[in-house]
Amino acid sequence: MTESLKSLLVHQAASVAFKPPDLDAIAHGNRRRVRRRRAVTVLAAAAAVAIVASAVVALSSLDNRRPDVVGPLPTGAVSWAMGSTIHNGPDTIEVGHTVRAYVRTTVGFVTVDEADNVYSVTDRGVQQIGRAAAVPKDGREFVRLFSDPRGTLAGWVGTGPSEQTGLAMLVHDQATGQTRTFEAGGSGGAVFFAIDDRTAYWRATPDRVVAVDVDTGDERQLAGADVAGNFAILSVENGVLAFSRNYQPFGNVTSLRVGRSIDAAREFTFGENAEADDAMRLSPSGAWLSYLWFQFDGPPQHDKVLAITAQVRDTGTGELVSLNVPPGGLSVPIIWLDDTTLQVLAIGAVPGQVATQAHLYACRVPDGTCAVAVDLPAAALDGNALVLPTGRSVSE
Amino acid sequence: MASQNWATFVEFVAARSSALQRAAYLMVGDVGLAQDLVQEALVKTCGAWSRLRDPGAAEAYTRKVIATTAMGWFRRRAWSAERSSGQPPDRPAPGHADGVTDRAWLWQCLLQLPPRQRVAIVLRYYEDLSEAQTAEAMSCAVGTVKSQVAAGLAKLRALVGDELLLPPETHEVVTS
Repeated sequence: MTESLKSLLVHQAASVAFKPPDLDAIAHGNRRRVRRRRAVTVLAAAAAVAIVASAVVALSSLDNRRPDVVGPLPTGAVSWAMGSTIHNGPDTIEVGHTVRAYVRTTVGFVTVDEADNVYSVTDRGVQQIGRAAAVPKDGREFVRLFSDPRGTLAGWVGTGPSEQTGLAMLVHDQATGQTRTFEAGGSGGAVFFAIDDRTAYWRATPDRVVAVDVDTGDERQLAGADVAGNFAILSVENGVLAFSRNYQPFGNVTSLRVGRSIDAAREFTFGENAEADDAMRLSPSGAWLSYLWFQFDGPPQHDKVLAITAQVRDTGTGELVSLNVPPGGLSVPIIWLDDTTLQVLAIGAVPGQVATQAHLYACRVPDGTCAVAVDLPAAALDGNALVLPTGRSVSE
Repeated sequence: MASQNWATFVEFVAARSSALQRAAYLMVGDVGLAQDLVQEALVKTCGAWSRLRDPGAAEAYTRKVIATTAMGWFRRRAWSAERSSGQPPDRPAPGHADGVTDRAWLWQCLLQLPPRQRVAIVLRYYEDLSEAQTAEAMSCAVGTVKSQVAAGLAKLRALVGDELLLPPETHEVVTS
């Protein structure tokens, strides 16, 4: 070898191309959004812990399998997926395609594969029910699925019945097997927010956030043109909405309101120099709110992450509930299994050390007790194969 | 920022951002991260522009932000489960190794170094900074720079073998 270290560095640095810095963003001081989103992304990757390359290779060979007879249905058990297998409590379900993201309903699961195909997984088998459209976020594109785990509907942003119709909101009822298509228009991008029982929440056009009765098609406007751009619904359960009026697409949530209507909602704050990830969830009754909380070391010019904590709040009183997961690691709230039980991913790592184990816990509120529900293999901490029932892909 | 200051800042960005991005890339090993890192650093430089006065000071300031932020990012990544295997990547088989594959292999070995060691090596051997300048950029003591560079080079030699031709001074055993 004749390469010196110096020439290697020079050659390597010259071998890649860079986009010029965004002067407009610099002028507006947008670094906080970029960096803090980056911090979340890194941690979200950890939250979406996955399995070693060898396991990925082994599992990829399963992709051509035919689906098993689908037996067990969601029962509120702790759930996770890897490759083409969904684990639901003690049961495993082979769905015949790589599960990129999935959600649960009372009837089964709805999944999306690597090609954006959407499937319904029920005791009637696995059936493709549509295609999801990737939507831009943080300079990348993602697909998301939505459902009410206590209902039978699942939804996603997809394409309409023809190429000309563009994006559409699609809602599938696993109880009937029917899919309804709601047209989305405008150039601002369609955003699906949530499903609560028979009501879906979305911004189909840039100037309106609406609640739609999926059965009748009746719409109720929640935000108009003056505020719709930064209005985001983060979770809806039992008619209780968690929403933000100043949501920034590249940032975390800095303020939040929870209530049964937009005008009569309680405001929650996260403390000085603190923010929350936007993947927050209300419990089925709306009594509790779970989210991942970030504490930074100061205002925007200082953005070292001091603490990251899984938090649960009583939405009636605002009081925090402490979850008794092992200290020193990273714990991420995933989904409510029932109104007082939260599925939590805990990664056993301490600052400066490599994480060596991950578990799925079932944590109960308000006492905060947690019990290990699933031991994920140590190898799960490499890669991006583990998928959790949030409707989001691991890479997001 | 006053319009004249903004104009000189834009000139600085146009003249130096590519070099800063290349150095950042060598530190973090990822183009996207490097771009974010430099964007972040330039925001801070912009905020401090009025007291930096000359482009040399601005570049040193920006480089310092890049180095310290890169090390901070790595700390967070390690904390949140990314890992270095501690093992060298597979070396190309004899007979297949040409300049390109050797470079790729050496690059992979460099990426195995702990972040502070890699940042120190990039500043010393890519940016050609003195030990004192490197210490300033890393916000640490000169002795720390010496030990980080020595440890990094020792690990590189262990990974790639003695046939790697390093600059003469890099073969010195530095203790501090």
